Amino acid sequence: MTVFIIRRLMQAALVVLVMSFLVFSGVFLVGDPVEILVADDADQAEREMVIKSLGLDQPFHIQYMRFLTRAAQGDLGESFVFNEPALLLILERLPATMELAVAALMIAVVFGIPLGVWAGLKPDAISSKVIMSGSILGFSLPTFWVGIMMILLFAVILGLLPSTGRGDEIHYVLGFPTSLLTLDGWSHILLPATNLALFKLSLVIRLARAGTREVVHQDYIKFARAKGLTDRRVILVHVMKNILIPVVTVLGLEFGGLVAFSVVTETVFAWPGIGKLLIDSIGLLDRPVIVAYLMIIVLLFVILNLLVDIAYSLLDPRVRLQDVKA
Amino acid sequence: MTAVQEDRPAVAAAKDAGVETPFRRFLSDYVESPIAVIGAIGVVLVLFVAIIGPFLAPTDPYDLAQVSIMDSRLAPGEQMMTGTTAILGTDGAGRDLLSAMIYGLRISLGVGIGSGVIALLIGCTLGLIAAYVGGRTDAFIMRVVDIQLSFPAILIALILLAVMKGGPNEPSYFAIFKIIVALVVVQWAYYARTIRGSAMVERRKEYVEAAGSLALSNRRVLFRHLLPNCVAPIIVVGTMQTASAISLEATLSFLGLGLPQTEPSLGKLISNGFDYVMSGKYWISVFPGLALLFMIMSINLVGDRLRDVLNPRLQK
Repeated sequence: MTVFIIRRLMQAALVVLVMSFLVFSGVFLVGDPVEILVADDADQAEREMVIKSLGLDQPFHIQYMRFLTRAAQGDLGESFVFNEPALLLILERLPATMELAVAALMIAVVFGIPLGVWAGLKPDAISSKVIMSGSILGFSLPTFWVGIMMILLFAVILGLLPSTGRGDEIHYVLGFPTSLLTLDGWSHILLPATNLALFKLSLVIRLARAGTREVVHQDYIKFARAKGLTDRRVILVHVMKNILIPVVTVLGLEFGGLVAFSVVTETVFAWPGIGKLLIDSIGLLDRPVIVAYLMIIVLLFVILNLLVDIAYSLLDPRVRLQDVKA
Repeated sequence: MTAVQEDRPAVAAAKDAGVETPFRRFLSDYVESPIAVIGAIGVVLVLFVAIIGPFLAPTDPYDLAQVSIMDSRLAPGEQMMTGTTAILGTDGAGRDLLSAMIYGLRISLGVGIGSGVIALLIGCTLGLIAAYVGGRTDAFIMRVVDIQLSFPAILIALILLAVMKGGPNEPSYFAIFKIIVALVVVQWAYYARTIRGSAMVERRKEYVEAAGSLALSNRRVLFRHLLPNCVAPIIVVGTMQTASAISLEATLSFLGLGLPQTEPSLGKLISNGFDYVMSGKYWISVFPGLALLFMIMSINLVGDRLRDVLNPRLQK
C-alpha cells in the first residue's frame, strides 16, 4: 500500500513538473507580452526598461529556473496587468468559482438522482423515455449556447433574473466570501449554476438509471419486498443506498471537470471567478496569471486523481496488485 | 461515415445476388430504431449542405462587394440593400445570416472531421503499436494516455491554446492550424485506448499467429490483419468524437481561442451574436446555435445506434 502511494505521488509530482515545463516554455516561446504592454509609440529606451523590469531579457533556462524556485516558495510571479501577485489574484477569485461549481453539483444530484431512479424503475413509461431523450439532449447541447439562450429567455425576454455577475452583497462566512446569504445572491447564481449543471445532470441521470435497473433485480430487493416493506421504503432505503456508491465516485472525479468547464459559464454570465480571469488574461497576454492558473488547476486535478486512486485501491485490492506488476 | 461510403458497391452487389452480406444485416439492424434513422438523415443533410454550400447560400458572406454595413442586424425577413431577403436576418457586420451559417457549418464540420481523421491516424497507429509490441512501449504509451484522459478535454485544449496564444497580428491560417492541433491532441488518446483494447483481444487469435508464421512483416500483420478486425469500435468512437470535437471547437471559438474572425465557424457566429442578445436581437445567436445543435445531435444519435448495432455482445 505504501509502495502504491509513493509510486502515485512520484507520478503526480512528475506530471506537475512536466506540465510546468510545457506551460512555461509554451507561454515563453509564443506570446510576446511586450507587444501588448508597451504603448505603440514608446521609444527603444522605454521598451528596454519594461523588458528588464519584468526579467524578460534573460535566457529561457534562467527564466524557467527562477520560475521553478519561486513557484516552490508559493510565488507564481506578478501579473503584468494588475501588478499584483498572480497567485493572490487567483486565490481571490477561487471562492466564486467553487461556489458556482458546488451549486452546479448540487443541482445535478438533487434533480438527477430522482429522475434517473424513476427512469430505471419504469423503463418503458413514456415519462422515462422523455427523461432519457432529455439526457441525450443534455449531452449534445453546447454549454455556452444554452447559457446565452437562458440569458435571452430569463433576463431579456422575461426579465426575471439577472444575467451577469454575482450580486453586490458579499458576506464572509468563516473567512470565505459568499453571496449566497441574500436572495439577491441566489437570483444571481441560479442561471449560471443551472447552465454548468446541465451536462453533469445528464450524466447523473444515466448513472442512476443504470444503477437502479441493475439493483432492482437483486435478491435483497426481492427479499425487502417479500418482507412487505412499502415501495417507498424499498426505493428510498434499499435501492438508493446501493446506487449511490458509483454516483458518488463518479461525481468526485467530475468535480474537477466542473471547475474546468466553469471557464465557459463564467465567460457567458460574467461570473467573477478564475475561469473568467483566465480568459481575460489570455486576451491581455498576461503570462504570469495564465501560467499560475494552469499550474493551480493541474495541481488540483493531480490531487483529485490521486485521492480517487488511493480510495479505489483501498476499496479494491485488485487495482493495487495490478499496479505493482506493471 | 467513411465506412458507409466504402460499402456502397458491396450493397449493390449484394442486391444483385440477393444474398445476406454483413453490411445488409447491419443496415437492417440499424433501421430498427426510428430515431436513429432520423439522426442518419440529419447527418446526410448536414453533409449535403456542407458540400454544396456555396450553391445553396443566397449570398456570398465573404464577398465584400455584396456585404454592406447598412444591412447590419436586420431582423429575419427584412430586405437587404442588394434586394435579397434575409430569411434569418443579418449579423452585426451586415452579412446574410443564413449564408454565414452555411459557410460556418462547412468550417465547423471541416475542422471537426479533419482533426478527427488526423487524431484517428495517430491514435490508431500508437494504440496498435502498444498492443502488438507490448512491454515497456505499451506501458509508456498507455501511461501517457491514462494521464491525459484524467484531465477533461476542454482543460487540455485550454492549456494548449493558452500557451500558444499569439499576438493580435497573427495570420489566420496559423490560428486554424493551432485549433486543429489542440483538437488532435485532445482526441488521439481515446482512439489509442479503444484500438489497443480490441487489438489486445484480436492479437491472441489464430489468424494473427498464422500471419506471423507466414513470416509476414510486422507492418503487414499490424495494418492488414489486425487493423481491419478492430474497425467496429473505432467507427463508434469516431462518430462520438467528431460530435464532441465540433462542440469543443465551437466552445473554444466562443471563448475567443478558436477560429479567427475571418473564418467564422458556427461557434464564432454565436459569439458575435452574444453581443446583441441584451438588446433583444436574438436571431444572430439563436439560429447558428440551432444549426450546431442539430448537427451534434444527429451525429450523437447515429453514434448511439452504431454502438448498439456494432457491439458483438448485443448481436442476435
